Amino acid sequence: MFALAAAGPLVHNEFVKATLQAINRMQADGIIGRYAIGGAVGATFYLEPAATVDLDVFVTLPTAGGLLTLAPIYAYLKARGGVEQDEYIVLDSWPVQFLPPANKLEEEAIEASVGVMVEGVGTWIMTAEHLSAIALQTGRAKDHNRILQFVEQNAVDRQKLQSIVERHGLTGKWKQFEQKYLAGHS
Amino acid sequence: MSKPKLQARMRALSFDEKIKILEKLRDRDKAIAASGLRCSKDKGGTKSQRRGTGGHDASQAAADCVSPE
Repeated sequence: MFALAAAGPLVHNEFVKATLQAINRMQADGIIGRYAIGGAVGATFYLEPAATVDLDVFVTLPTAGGLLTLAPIYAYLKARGGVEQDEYIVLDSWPVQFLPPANKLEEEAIEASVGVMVEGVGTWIMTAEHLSAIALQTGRAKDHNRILQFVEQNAVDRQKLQSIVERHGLTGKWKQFEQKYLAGHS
Repeated sequence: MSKPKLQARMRALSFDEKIKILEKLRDRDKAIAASGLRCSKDKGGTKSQRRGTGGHDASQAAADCVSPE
């Protein structure tokens, strides 16, 4: 048997707060534009908490010279104690992945994100419908599972989701998903 | 308590409370990963790979899996 206690204390409530404060400071300093939390942490706002190893931050970058690069984010955060690790930068023990929008859907998801407070710190979370549409687009098993959670727990507005799906050319994928997983759901 | 009731109860928690649970889950996940009982990466590839924005090689991720022995 392995010992969970070997990893140390299991509660670090301040880490997400500190991470969000660092991201907000970076935004205030003009390194990033609008941002929105997606992925499992974003979904947790609407669903029950699900285990995840990282924080996905979809972020718009100020354009200079037309070249889109995450280098300014990494330079800024590394100068303030962030540690680069694979595709993440670790802030206050949370691996954060900064993801510039790869398509119109992700751009729209950032624009439509909702402001929330986490332990007194303001931040932005993608809507349930955009989280679902991005999960549909990404299409891994765990993404499909997340969409199912949204649907089965009535945490998503099906009409709004349908509209996003149609607007971003995901109708075929949605039909396949419905046939495979939602037979019998109204 | 039934699973749907538990899910509803968990879903109704404040985001602050959910984040605390999420952090506990993450720490537990890290402890399990450190024990060598789980693959370090999803064999389906990373988000970056799915989005075509770089990241690790999926075959390498599979090779990173540690035998439960």
